[in-house]
Amino acid sequence: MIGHIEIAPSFFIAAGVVLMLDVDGILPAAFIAGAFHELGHITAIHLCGGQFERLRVSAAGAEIHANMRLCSYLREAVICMAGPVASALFAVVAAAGAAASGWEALYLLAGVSAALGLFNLLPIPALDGGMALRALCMRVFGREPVVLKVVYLIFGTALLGLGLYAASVGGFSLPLIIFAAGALAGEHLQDCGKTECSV
Amino acid sequence: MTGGEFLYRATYEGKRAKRRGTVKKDQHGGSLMVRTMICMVLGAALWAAGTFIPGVKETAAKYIGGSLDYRAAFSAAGEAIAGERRAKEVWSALVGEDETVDTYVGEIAASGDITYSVTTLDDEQTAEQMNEKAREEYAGIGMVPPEEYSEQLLPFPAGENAGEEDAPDTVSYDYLVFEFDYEQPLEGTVTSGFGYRIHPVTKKLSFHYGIDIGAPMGSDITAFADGTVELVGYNSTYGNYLFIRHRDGIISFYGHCSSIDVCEGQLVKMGEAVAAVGSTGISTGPHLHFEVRSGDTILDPSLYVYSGEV
Repeated sequence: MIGHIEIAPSFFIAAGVVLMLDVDGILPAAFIAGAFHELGHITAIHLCGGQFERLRVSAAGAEIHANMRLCSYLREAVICMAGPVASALFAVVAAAGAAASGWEALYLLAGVSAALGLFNLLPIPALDGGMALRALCMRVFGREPVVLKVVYLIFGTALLGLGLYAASVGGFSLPLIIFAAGALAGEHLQDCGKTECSV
Repeated sequence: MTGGEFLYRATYEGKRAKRRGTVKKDQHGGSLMVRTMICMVLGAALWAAGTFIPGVKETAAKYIGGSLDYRAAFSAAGEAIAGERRAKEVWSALVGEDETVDTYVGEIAASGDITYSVTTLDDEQTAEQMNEKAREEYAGIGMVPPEEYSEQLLPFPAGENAGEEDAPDTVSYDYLVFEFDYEQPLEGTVTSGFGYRIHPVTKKLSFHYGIDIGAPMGSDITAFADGTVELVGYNSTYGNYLFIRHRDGIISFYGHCSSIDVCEGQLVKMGEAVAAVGSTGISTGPHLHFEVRSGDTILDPSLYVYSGEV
């Protein structure tokens, strides 16, 4: 544990694998983009009156543990969406910076951040988009409608299909990039020690 | 407590309880240190294997990585956000559709300025001396019939003063007279001439296959002469580029554009706007990289336009 950041042992294995394969030099950009993404979540948690407890990084991705005192589905949705929004903002800023300064690396950073944000918007249970959608459904309907499950299924299958298609076009690399993007963003917002909900 | 609230609490807390079960509490507090150390060592070993043992990274990447160029795709996406590229080019950057360009233009253009391993001086003085010598050797005006042209090409002499590098075989300093009207494609200042120079990005002595004309971003680039748009594309070296084919097998090339305003197969007239100045690809600022070729042979553009400014 370093302050609020906990690094699981499995993370180092994953890092070794990715470093070994990272011929393109994308990894630093992925880390920076991921950091800003998490920062977005953490900021939203603060603004929603919660307390950010720790960020646990493992081979499976990043988990945020927060103590949400004032909980509501709306706040949960906001917190989930804060990640992709932060990624989008960061992408725009980096792209503008690249255009202004001519520093090519910022284009890469902008692209990676945009990809991360967009990827997280996918309506899949494990990703921000899916969790925000679920929270909104709970708020509006009071339950998870069947439509939601259908959406999850459709997008999950589509994602798998896209991965297979890209693999057939250019080799088995999309799983790698999905892993890399998901590892930094396929997070689970967990709340622990939450006190009574006052709606 | 209303019914709605009750349902909310029950669902939320039920979910929370379920999640708690998946949060692995670390019962082996002491061995966490050991496991972390072991994993750090293994991770470092993997990284080292990839970095220091030749071939490991490439083999592993080939089996797991394939041929998708993510770096180019992400860079293209970033440029698209900045408004300098079209979004659909992200996909072509990913799958490397520019590979077709390589076969068309030959290796030299696609790989950018080739850097030779110069073991002697690499300062601007030497580059200028080499250019001077090249011009002296090959200055001349002559009508060269296209079919005999390749035999007229003389390789750059590798004498004592010229350095140890081989000349790019497809370059000619010959002044090939064009039997059609032509004009300069852009109003601007020549920032880098044809021939040997210190590359602005790599800082190495290399051969520049065209001339760079600096101009404000978005300035109109016009066609060098009447012709047909032969190829429009993008690669990571030259950014947005286009080729126009003119008479007698003469081809003009325009690179680093911010946008291309014509399509392949379109007929264009001399002076017609075909693209806009940009800084796409490997570029330190908005400029046009302009080349003139006769078939596969690369000519010195400053013999035709911007003479006296180079």
